[in-house]
Amino acid sequence: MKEFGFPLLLLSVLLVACDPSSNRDYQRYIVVESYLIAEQPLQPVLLSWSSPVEQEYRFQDSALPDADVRVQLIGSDGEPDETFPYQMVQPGVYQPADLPTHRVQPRERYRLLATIPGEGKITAVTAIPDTFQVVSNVPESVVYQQDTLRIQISNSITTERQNVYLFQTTASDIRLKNMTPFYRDLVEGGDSTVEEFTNNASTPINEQNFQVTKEGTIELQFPWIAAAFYGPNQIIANSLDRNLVDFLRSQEVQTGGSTLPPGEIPNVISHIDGGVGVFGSLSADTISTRFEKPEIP
Amino acid sequence: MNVSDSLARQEASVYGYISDIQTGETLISANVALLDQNRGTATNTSGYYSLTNIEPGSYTLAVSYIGYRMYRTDIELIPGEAMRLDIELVPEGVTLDEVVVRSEREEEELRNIGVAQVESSRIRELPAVFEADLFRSVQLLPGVKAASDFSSGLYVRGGGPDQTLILLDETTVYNPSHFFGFYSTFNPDAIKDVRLYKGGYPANFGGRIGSVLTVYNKDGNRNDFQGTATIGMLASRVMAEGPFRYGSWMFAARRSTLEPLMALLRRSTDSVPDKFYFLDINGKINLDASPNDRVSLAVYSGGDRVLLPFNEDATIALGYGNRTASANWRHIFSDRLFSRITLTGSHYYSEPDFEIAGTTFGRNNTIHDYSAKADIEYLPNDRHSISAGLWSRSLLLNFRDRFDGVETFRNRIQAIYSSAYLQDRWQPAPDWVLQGGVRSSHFSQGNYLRLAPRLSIEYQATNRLRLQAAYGRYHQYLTLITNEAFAGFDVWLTTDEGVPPAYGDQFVLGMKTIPFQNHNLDIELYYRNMRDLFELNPFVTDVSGLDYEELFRFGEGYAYGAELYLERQSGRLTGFLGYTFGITQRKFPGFNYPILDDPSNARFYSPKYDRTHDFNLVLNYDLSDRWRVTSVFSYATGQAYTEPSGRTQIGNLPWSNTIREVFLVEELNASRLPSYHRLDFAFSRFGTLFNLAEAEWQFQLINAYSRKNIWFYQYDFDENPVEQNEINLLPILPAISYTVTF
Repeated sequence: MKEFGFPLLLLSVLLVACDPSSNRDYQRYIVVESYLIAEQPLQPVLLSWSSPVEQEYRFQDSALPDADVRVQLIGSDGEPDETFPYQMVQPGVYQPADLPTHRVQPRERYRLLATIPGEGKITAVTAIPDTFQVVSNVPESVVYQQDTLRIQISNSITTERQNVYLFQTTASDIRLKNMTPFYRDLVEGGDSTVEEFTNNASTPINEQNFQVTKEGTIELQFPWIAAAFYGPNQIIANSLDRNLVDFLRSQEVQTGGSTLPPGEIPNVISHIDGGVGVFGSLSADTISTRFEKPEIP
Repeated sequence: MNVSDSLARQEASVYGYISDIQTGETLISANVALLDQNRGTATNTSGYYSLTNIEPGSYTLAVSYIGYRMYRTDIELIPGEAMRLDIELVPEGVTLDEVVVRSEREEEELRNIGVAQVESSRIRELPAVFEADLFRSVQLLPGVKAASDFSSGLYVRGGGPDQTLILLDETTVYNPSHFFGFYSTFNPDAIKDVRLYKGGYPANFGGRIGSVLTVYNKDGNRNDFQGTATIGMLASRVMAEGPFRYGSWMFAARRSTLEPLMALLRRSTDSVPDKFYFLDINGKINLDASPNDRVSLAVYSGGDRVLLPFNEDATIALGYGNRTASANWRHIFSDRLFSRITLTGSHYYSEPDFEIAGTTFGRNNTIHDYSAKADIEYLPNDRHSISAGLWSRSLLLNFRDRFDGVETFRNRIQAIYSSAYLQDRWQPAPDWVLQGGVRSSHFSQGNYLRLAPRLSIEYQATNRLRLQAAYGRYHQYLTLITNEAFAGFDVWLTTDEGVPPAYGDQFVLGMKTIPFQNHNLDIELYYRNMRDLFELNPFVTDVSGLDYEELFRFGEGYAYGAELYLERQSGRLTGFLGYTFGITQRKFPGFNYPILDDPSNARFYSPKYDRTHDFNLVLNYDLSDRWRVTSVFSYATGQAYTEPSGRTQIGNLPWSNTIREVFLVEELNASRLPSYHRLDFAFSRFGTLFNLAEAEWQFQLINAYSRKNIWFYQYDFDENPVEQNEINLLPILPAISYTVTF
C-alpha cells in the first residue's frame, strides 16, 4: 500500500481543493430609486431593501417605510439653499410633502437625504442637465428606412464631462401587424411581447457622436433601429446626468456584453453614500412624427 | 602580440548546421557536445552551432535531439583549424545501413529554465475537437491554462493572452485564432518547431510581460518531394514540400469545410450562416545561397469570414485575420560570428459589421506592423557567447467606430517601437552557466524609454541534476481588448500619453533531473508581479468624446506557483504528466470594492481563468505497428466566478417600461465552479492508400465519459426568484480524420 501513498494523497488534495466553493455572504442594503427632471416638479423617491438573490423579489415586500426623506437644492457654496421634505404615501414610496410648486432647476445640484431610524443614512447628489429644445422642423411623416429623419437640438451647457443623450420612441398604434419587420420577428419568435417595445429606448449615447452644425446646434440622424412600430410616434430626446449614465452602463455590464469574461459580475455604480441604486436626473424634449410603411414594389 | 593571442590562434573550432537527414530541415536547440571535454552548446533558431577555443586533438562529437538518434563522430582538430561540420540526424524509427547509437538522452540535455518544446508530431497525435491544434497542445503544458473548451487562448503563469508574444517565423501574429478563438491559426502540417518561453525569458525577446511562443514553419524538404493531405470533419488541409535547384520550398493550406453541413442544417433550422469559413495559407522558400549564406522567405495569410442573417432584417458580417511575411538572411562570418537579418511585415484586421433594422454599425481595428531586425552571435572564447540585436518596428494602429453611416470614434496611432539587447552567456566553470543581459526599448507614442535586466544561473549539481534560477523585468506597450467567449472582435491598443506601459518582474527557480532512464522531471517555482496593467474599462460603453486614457482601467496583479513536468520520451509508451499549483490575483480601482466603500479601495480578486490545481496526463501507446492510442486526461480546480448575494430592481426609469435587474456582489469571483475534468481518446490506424502512399485513419472521442463541465452560470430573470442555469462546455464528441502522406 505504501507505494500508493503519495498518489492517493495527491489525489485527495486535488479532490478537496477542486470542490466547488461558494462565497455568498449576504448582506442587505438600502436601495434608492429617484429621478429629477429639469423644469418638472420633484419626483417620488423609492426606498427599499435589497433581497437575497435566491428569494422572490417584490417591491412591496422589500419597501422601506418610515424614513425621513428630504431633497435639497444646493447652492454654489455647497450648503442647502432650499430643503424639500418628503412624506411616505405608501410603504417605500415618498413624495414631496408640500404642493408641487418647485420646478427642478437645470444646471443646479440637488441632494437626497434619507434617514432610516436604527438603520442608517443615505445621501446622494445629482447635477441636473441643462435643458434643450428640438429646433429643426420635423416632417409630419417619414418613410421607414427610405427617408432620413434628421433632428437638430439646441446646444446646452454641460454639467458633466460631456452631455450624454438617450433617445426614446413611444408608439401610439401598438399592434403586432403594425410592427416593423425586425421587432415583429422578435415577437413572433416568442422572445418578446408587443408591449415591451411600446417605449423603445437607445443606450446612452455621448454627445460627441453627433455633428455640430454651423449654428452650434447638434444634429442627429434618427436610427431606424429605434422604430418598432409604424404610424404615429413620439421621439423623446433625454439628456442624462452622470449618475444615470454610470448606473445604466454598469447595469448593462452585469447582464453581459462587456469585455469581462462570462460569470464575472461587478457591482453597479451607484453614487449613493450608504446604499445602492440610482438618484439621477435628466432633461428632455419631445417631437412627434409618423413612420410610414414603405411600399413594396 | 601577447601569449594569449598566440594561444588563441592555435586553438581550433568546429561549427555548422544540424539538420534532419531525410528532409534537410534544420533542427533548433539540438544539443552538441564534445564528450571528452564536457563542453556543449545548442543550435540556435537557425539550426547553427559553434564550439570554439578547443585544444587541438582528437575528440568525440555527439549531437542529440528529441525524436532523433544520437549522432557521434570522432574528429581530429589541428592547431588553428576551424572545422565546418554540417551534421544530419536520423529520426528514430528510421533504419539506415550505418550503425548508430541509440539516444542516451541523459548524457546531454540542455533544457532551459522556463522553456517548453511542443513536438509537431504530438500536435497531430493528440485527440482534438475535429481539428489538430497547436494551442490546444500547448495548453496541456504545466503553467498554461485554457480559459474554456471554446477558447484556444493561452493563459501562461497568470497572464492573459495578450501577455504572450506569438512569433511565427519571427513575425508577430496578433490574432492567432480561427472560429472566434476555438482554434489557433497554425497549420500543424506546416510547423517545424514550437517553443514556449513561459517566464524569465532572455533578453533577445521582449515586448510582453508574460511569455513568448515561437513557431517556425518548415523550410521545406531539401531532398525529396513530399506531401500530406488530411480530410477532417471540420477542415481539410494539404501540405507539400520539396527541393529545387537552390534550396527548398514548402506550401500548406487549410480550409474549413462546413458548407455541406450548413446546407443540411438550412433545411431544418433558421439562422444558419450564409457564409462561414476560415482559410489559411503558409508558404516558405529557402535559398541555400552559399555554404555560409541562407535566405528564407515566409508568408502566412489567414482569415475568418461569417455572414449571418438573423431574425428579419438583421445581418452580422464578420471578417478578421492576419497576414504576415518575413525575409531572413543568415550569414556565417566565421566560426566565431553568426548573423541574422530579418525583415517582417504583419497585418491584422478585424472588421465586424452589423445591420439591424436598417441601422448599420461596426468597429474596425487594423494593425500594420513592419520591422527590421538584426542579431549577431559572437563567441570570443570558450567561456563566453555574446549575442546582441536591434529591432525597429513601425506600428500603425487604427481603431474606428461607426454608427448609422457616421464615424463616431477614430483613434490612429503611428508609433516607432525600437528595442535593442545585449547578452552574454558565460560559463565560468564546467558546471556553472550564467546568462545576463539587458534589453532597452523605446515607444515613440508617449516617448517611453525602458530598460529591462535579465539574468539566469544554472548549476549542474550532478550528471542528472541541474538547478536553475532566473530573473527578468519585462515591459509591454500593447493591450488586447477581447472577450474570452468570443475572439472575433479583438482590438489592440497601445500606450500613449497618460497610458504608461505595463511592466513586471519575474522570478523563477527550477530543477531539471533525470530520475530514471528515458524520463525527464522538471520542477519550477515562479513568482511574478504585474504593474500598470492597462485594459479597456469594461464600463466604457461609448468611447466617443473620451480622452484616450479614459478608455482604460489601470491595475496591478501578481501570480505565483509551482509546476511539475514528468516526461517519458521513447518506447512503446510515451507521454507526460503535468501538474501546476498556481495563484493569480488582480486589482483594478473601481472594481471589487466593498459595496458601501470608496471605489478606490479595490481588493484583489482571482480572474476567471485562475485554477489553483491543474493536472494533465498525456499518454501515447503503440498497440502494434498499425495501431496507436493516445489519451489525454485533464483535471483542474473549477474556475473563479462571481456569485451574486443580493438583488433588487430598478423599475421606474422615465423612458422605459422595462424593469432593470440589479445584482449585489459582496466579492468579485470569490466562488468556484465545480472542478473540471475530461478524458479524450484518439486511435490511429496506419496503413497505405492502395500501396501508393502512407495513410492514417484517426478516430477520436472527446469527453469520453460525457462530463458536464460548466463554463459559467447564466441568470434567468424571467423567473422569480432568479434561476441559475448552467452553461456547459463540450459534450461527448466523436471525430474522424483521414491523412495521406505521399
